Amino acid sequence: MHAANKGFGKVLAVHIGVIAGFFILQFIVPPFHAAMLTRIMVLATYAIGYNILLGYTGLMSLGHAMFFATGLYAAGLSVIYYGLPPLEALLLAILLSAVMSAAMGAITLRTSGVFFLIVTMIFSQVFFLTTLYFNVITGGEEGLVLTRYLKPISLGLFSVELTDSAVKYNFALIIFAIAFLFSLWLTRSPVGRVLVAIRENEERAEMLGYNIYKYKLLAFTMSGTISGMAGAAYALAFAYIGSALASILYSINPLLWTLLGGAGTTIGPIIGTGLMIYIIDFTSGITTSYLIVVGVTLMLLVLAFPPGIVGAIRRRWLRWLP
Amino acid sequence: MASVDDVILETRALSKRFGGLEAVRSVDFRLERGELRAIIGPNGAGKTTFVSMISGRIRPSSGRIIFEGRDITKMKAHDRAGMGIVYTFQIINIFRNLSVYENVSLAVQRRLASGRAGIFRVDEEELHREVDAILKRIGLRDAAEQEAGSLPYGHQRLLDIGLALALNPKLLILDEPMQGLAINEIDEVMRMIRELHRERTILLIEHNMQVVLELAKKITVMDKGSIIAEGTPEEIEGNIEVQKVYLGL
Ligand SMILES: Nc1ncnc2c1ncn2[C@@H]1O[C@H](COP(=O)(O)OP(=O)(O)OP(=O)(O)O)[C@@H](O)[C@H]1O
Ligand SMILES: [Mg+2]
Repeated sequence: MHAANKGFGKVLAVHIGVIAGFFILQFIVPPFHAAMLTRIMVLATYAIGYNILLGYTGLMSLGHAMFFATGLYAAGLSVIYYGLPPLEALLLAILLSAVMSAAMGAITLRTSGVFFLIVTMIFSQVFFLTTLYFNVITGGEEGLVLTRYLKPISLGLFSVELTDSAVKYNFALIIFAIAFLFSLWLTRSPVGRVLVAIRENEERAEMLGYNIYKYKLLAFTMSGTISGMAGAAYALAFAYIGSALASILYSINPLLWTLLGGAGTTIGPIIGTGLMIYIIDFTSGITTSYLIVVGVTLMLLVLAFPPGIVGAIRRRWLRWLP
Repeated sequence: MASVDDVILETRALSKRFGGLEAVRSVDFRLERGELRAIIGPNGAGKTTFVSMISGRIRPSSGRIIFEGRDITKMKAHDRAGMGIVYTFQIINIFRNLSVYENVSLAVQRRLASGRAGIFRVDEEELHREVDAILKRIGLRDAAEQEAGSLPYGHQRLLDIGLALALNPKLLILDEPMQGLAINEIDEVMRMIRELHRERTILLIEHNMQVVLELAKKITVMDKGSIIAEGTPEEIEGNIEVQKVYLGL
């Protein structure tokens, strides 16, 4: 058997282990940390989506807030204005994010390199400004709270409320697990291998006969759809939508989380997101200029570990990590 | 394809201008199925530019390219590769950070997965078998797990050719495959080219005259963007024009 299949038991065990770990943590940690972990799982889902494009295809976007916010608003607004139950709102949001990212990909992927960065950012800013412009509907900067519109999730015989923190936690866990396992599947699938080939040497991949544009569009759409799913989960779990979540900061965040944890690793985005969210929480308790602290920490980490934390670990010790 | 001489590739008045420079000037060229044709010519003659237009890497300024009776002038490079026109770069071009195995498997996968569903599923067993066969053929089976960029130069060249051959091309274009190789490696690559030629048409750009004379039955000479001579090795060796170009008279 070839090495690609040899270590898969181990790889799968690690990934299932991460999910199981999150599941068990809810029974161990105090409520404050459970709430932190809920947030981390939702935002890690966003980073996982982002990483498909940055880490596995080699395309750096500065406009993913657009997709995160597409999911966020699609879920939030459909709950508020159309009274959709949470899961239906989630599905609608995923669908709209897929359409939105496919359309945006079709346009932005005509550019490359720094132009791609700029074009994605510009579209995302347009989206952000649109959410502000229609503030009568979206609630603009202040945003809207979903709490009194959120219907229970019905699970056949019984139903659960998303306002319950344990439900929130496990809802976030399921969303996260879906994205996480999807990214693992992708790295081992024929598509994923071609995406890596494009990241490594686009010209050669094309001369092998791969339609680069088609594959990039597929990656862009998968990435945007998962980002949108994360946005929808955010709206539903935290019962809030607001245009700050569509701002450029939310395009930069997944980039930083992914780089810190390790672009092109399945686990990196989770470590990066978790670490950053705890660092921000910790430093904002001590100093008001926490963003500077965050920036400096990040620079040091990225300088010390250019491949990111998990990337460095993989390079040195665990070569079999996907 | 039932034509008398069975032309696999033809170019008509094919030209390429880079700004003011006419790198390829109105080239009419015909290649028969099963040929092993060499293209020779001094540096800057336009050889790479010419075959790059055939592979689709460079768009022509004017002229046509016909492959198996089909006008492919406007076709994208990846579609031409899918049709069987495969190009290996003058400068070694492999996935340096991926393993030798992964390199070859990317090429094999492309051939196995030519259907629509193929991008999500390939028969992993078959893939592995074919990759292994290619690795054996290029003699890199023991280096399968090695990072491609860490291979010795000659082995990188073999891998590069291996990628092309894994695609099972109808027309294989080799752009100076001997460049930078040691004598024994040249023999190795020559043996491989001969073996490949049994199944397919080959267009070989090469500076090493000894290699050209040994491999090709027909030689095309380019200079300053044009074809200045074409014929058997003996004819070319006796050609005054060619001697002028090569001796700089
Ligand atoms: N992308 C480009 N832009 C501008 N000029 C180019 C480009 N590619 C090639 N040229 C020029 O076109 C001419 C033909 O180049 P080409 O590479 O086709 O020659 P060649 O016959 O392959 O030479 P060599 O034997 O050195 O590989 C040269 O003068 C070269 O400088
Ligand atoms: Mg050349």
